[in-house]
Amino acid sequence: MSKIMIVEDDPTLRDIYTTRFTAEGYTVISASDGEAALSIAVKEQPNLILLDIMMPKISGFDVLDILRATPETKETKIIVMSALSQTADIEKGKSLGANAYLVKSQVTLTEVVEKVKAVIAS
Amino acid sequence: MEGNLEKYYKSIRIWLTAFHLSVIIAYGLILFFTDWEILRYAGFRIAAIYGLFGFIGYFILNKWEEKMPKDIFELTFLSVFVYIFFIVDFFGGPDSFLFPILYVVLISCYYYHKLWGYIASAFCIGYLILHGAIISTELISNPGKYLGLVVSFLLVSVAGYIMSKKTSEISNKNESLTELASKVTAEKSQDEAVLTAIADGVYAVDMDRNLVLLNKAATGLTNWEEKDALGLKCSTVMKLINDGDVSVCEKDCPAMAVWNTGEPVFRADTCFVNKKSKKRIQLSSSYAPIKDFQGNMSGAICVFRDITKEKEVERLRNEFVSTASHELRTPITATEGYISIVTDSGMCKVDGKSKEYLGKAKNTLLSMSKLIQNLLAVTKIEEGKLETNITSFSIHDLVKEVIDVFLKKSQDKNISLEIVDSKDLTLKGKKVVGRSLNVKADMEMLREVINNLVENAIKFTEKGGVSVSIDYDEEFATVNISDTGMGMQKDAQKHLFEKFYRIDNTATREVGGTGLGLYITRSIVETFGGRIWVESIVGKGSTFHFTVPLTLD
Repeated sequence: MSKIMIVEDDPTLRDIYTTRFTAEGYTVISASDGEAALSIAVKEQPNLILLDIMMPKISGFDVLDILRATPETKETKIIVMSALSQTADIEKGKSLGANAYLVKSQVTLTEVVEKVKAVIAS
Repeated sequence: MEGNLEKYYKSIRIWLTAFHLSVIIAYGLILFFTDWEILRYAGFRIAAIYGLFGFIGYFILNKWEEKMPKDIFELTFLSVFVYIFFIVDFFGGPDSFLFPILYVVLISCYYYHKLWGYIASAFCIGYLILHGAIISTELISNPGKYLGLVVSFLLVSVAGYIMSKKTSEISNKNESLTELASKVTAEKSQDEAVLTAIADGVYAVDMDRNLVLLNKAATGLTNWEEKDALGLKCSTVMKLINDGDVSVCEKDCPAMAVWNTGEPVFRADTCFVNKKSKKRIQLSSSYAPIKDFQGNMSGAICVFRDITKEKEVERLRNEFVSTASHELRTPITATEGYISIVTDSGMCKVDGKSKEYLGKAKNTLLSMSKLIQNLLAVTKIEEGKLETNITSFSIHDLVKEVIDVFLKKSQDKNISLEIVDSKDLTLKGKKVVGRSLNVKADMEMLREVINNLVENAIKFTEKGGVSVSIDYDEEFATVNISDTGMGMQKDAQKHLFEKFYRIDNTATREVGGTGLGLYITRSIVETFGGRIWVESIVGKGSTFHFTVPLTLD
């Protein structure tokens, strides 16, 4: 079964995603900041990373940039999920190599699950 | 200057009065101690009387002093003239060696003013006639001598008259020039006073962008002294930087923009660094061209004010709104997430009733989330920060897509939802071929508009249905969304598109709403140059219309 990594600094949201994706049958690992995300991602080699942008220490954009430059995670599927909804932010996420960009305010949890399924299947 | 002149007049008056007094005293002394024949001479007697008047005159004039300094001067002049006459008379009148002095006096009188000249002429000629007839009786025995003198006086008088006319012309000219000069000075100092009094900074540059004017407020904001700053390049005194930290002076100079367009320019995105405090001063400034008499550009003037505080407040407010809505959203997402885990994931056992109530809780959360989204949208609209991505697309296809999304909802409510097919596109009753019917707008925003209107229509319709049609004219596509719902009063129709307006009746309360949806809808429609309106009959239904400009091909 696919392994998903949740990178999210808000513990409640992290818990919800973890619970939900576990219920969907995925193996779920999580990280609460960018720094942890980088080391865990390289070690655990998840199939997909759900990445928040506004986080302490290293921002999601930087994490994305580094992950894409690291050989182990170059091909990992990454969905950016952020509160940032400006066109410029979305463009930036996509240009840095995100497979999809979701704006938190515009999607429900069920829609996130569907998106994850679609990206993994692609 | 004025004080000096007053002192001068005062000293003249004192000396003159002393002289008048001495004439009287001298007359008294001579009268008392001698039996001089000269006392017969009318001149000396008149001089003594005149002296008395002059002495009294001093006290009278002292009172009028402020009013008539010029008259004091003229009286002095008259006194000198009169005394010269008496001296000449004293030494023998026409026979005296001093007699030619009278010609000089006559000319001087004309030089001063022609009126004085006339008096002097009359005086001289009158004196000659009286002297010849009464005192020496020579006029009868030797009329030729007196006639010659009279003629000579007349000739000198004519010469004096011509001269006086010339000088008065010149002095008139001088006077008007002086007047003009003082007027100009007064106006200039008034302008300067106005400029200084303006609480906003004002500066002007010439065509080389050198500073030619810097008012007091401007020197305060820049911390440059006016005398140091004038003549310098304005970029030296105020190096403008825009909000993106890019220098404005080289490539984006507002003065240049003013000269290029000839129109005033308003900027609120620039700042400069204060020379002394090294603090950034945020500016709101307006620039206008200065034109010379021929209408050619001769410079530019800028009025600016410090809006550092306002900018900071604005920034804090924006930050607050976005932080607050972000913070509000997280718990909503979390709650919604937990509910959906319970209802959708299959992890928990949920009976029918629980599922129903959890569904209602979830819907409430979604509308709360929508409210926050709307608040953010309104904030953006009001700051003019609505980001648009204008493309050309088929409005028909977009309406179709939206309707497809709402089909399930309308079926659940058991009402119809259809697009009135407008495949045969007509303009003024004629079928149009080969004309693009694409519209020009931001597709996602327009989707939001149609979404809102269709969603509302379904929300307020209990039976019957909702139909959407599209008409086209030369410039616009008009989308009409009709329902067979409850309709609304005329008064409500007027205020429907205003912020936070909600129709005040129980029926709508049950349906709920934020009062922002239609305001946002209107703002979006107007952003793309369209308009929105509603027609409605209570109990029969409503039709919302909005227009979108067509793409010009």
